[in-house]
Amino acid sequence: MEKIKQKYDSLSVYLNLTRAISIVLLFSYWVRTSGEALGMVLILGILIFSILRQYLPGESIIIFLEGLFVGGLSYLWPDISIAYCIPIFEGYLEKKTAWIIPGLIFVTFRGSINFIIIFVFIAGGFLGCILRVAKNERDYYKEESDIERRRRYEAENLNKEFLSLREEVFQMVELAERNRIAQQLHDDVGHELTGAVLGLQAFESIIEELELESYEKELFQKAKQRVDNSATVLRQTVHNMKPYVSLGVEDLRGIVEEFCDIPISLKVFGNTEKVPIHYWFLLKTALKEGLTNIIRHANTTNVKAQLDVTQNILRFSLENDGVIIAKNIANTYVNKYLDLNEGMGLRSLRQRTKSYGGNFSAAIIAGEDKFRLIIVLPLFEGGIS
Amino acid sequence: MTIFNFVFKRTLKGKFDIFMLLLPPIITAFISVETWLPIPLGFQMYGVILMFLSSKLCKTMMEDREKKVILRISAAPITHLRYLMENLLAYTLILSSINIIVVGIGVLRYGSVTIPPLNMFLLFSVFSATSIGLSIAWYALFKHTETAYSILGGLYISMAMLGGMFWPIEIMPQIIRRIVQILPTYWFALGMRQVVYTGYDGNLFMTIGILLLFSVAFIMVGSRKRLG
Repeated sequence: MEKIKQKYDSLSVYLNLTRAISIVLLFSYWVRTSGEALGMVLILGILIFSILRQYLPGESIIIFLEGLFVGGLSYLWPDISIAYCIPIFEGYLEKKTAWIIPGLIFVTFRGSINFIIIFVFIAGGFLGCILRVAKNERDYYKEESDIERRRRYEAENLNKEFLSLREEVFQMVELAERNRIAQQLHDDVGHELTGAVLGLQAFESIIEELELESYEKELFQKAKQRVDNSATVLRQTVHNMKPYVSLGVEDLRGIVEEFCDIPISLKVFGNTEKVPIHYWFLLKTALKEGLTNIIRHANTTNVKAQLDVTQNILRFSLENDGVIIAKNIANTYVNKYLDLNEGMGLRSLRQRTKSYGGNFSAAIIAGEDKFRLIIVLPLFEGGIS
Repeated sequence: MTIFNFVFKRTLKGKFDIFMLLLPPIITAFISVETWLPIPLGFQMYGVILMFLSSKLCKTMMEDREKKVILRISAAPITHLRYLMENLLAYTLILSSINIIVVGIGVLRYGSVTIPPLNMFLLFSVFSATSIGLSIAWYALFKHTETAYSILGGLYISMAMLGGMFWPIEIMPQIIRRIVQILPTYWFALGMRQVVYTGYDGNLFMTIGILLLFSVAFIMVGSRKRLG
């Protein structure tokens, strides 16, 4: 990476070196010929334009002004028309050749054009072309390496996210299992035990009529006490086992309820029991990310969230209105859906959805000023092809 | 204009600072030895004094960078250009007032025939701008004030010598006379002669224009935003 950086920098150095050499050559030409004060004005002017170019690279107006400046001076003093090779070089370098024409008119109108000067002009243009090709190539590789770096950075982030997610999923699985066991204890064992307690209590009311021995009564009381104790312990165990955090669709409802700025309607269809635990994480993140984006980027009055669970797939959609987009952009798009400049959050969601074999789409609907985020996840092995 | 005001506060902190700023120019104005030009030696040397004064003034900008004040200014809601412009304006104003004093002393002591006040003031003020630019450009090359300051003396003296401020330019070979035109000091010396002998070797306003171009180029080199 350091080597590539050096290579990029060296091109700029060569470019500035070319400019410096041209100024030095101009100076020596001027020293050897007449040495008039106008020549010094020319050299200083070209120097100033070269420095200005460092602050405003690629500006057409600088090329134009430099052309006019050199052209105007060569109109006053034809001997320096050779200096026009510098604006020609810059014009070809930035591919803005039209801007050098006004100055060139001055030069050809009054300047002493001869074969050598034409040759120098052509050489300047040619050098500009060559360096432009090199510059374009550099810019291309620079961009490519930037994209590559971004990808790597994102992959690293995703990796980290997955690692932390794994821990969360483990915890969630544990909680879900505890929830299931508690529910089953409550539904099956609990009811049976309560029935037993009630039966024993009914039996106790008629025990006096049975004329039992005292030790038999004692045995009965002990057994009843034990069943009572078991019922109490079971109740406590179920109570303790039941997780306090909300799980699954309740979790989503909790987020929606906490989000009090804008009214949100969350509709859930289908049997959410079928949804694997790690999907809930993704849905939770998607809902949070979507709501944050709404707050940040839209002037929304209405948000609709919907979760459909079918036999084979799960579809989550989040839709909001009030997306601020320029009308002219919306009209120029033939496609109904505008391309979105996705941020880190949406990109991470997309990748996570893909890794579960699902589909992710986030788009602005051009005609309706709406934004829609859709996640489709498979509820069978293999994912959506 | 906080920065503008602050430059005055820093430069003219006490009476001693004002005294030290005024002493060299006033002494120079009283050096009345005549040399190859029919104006007092002090006025020929005044260019060198201007260069040193501007380097002393511009030191505040260098200190800003060294003490990381510039880093805090860059975090403030003020552009770098504005910081630079307010500083430059303040320096130019200070040097111009000194120029007025020096030219005033000259006119009072030697008369307005020997020292043409308007042209002389114009030349001095433009050269002040050039030397401020030169100092800023010079400081932009260095990281530490001390390094920049220690070499600066030698540089300015040699520039003045080559530019023909200490002896007539005519005694140097033709080729060197051409090459030294790259130095602003040459144009100052030439301007001085044009002020004294009207019509000497070209137009005074052309010389002043070249000096202004020099200052623009120097300021542009020196205005590179360097925080560290």
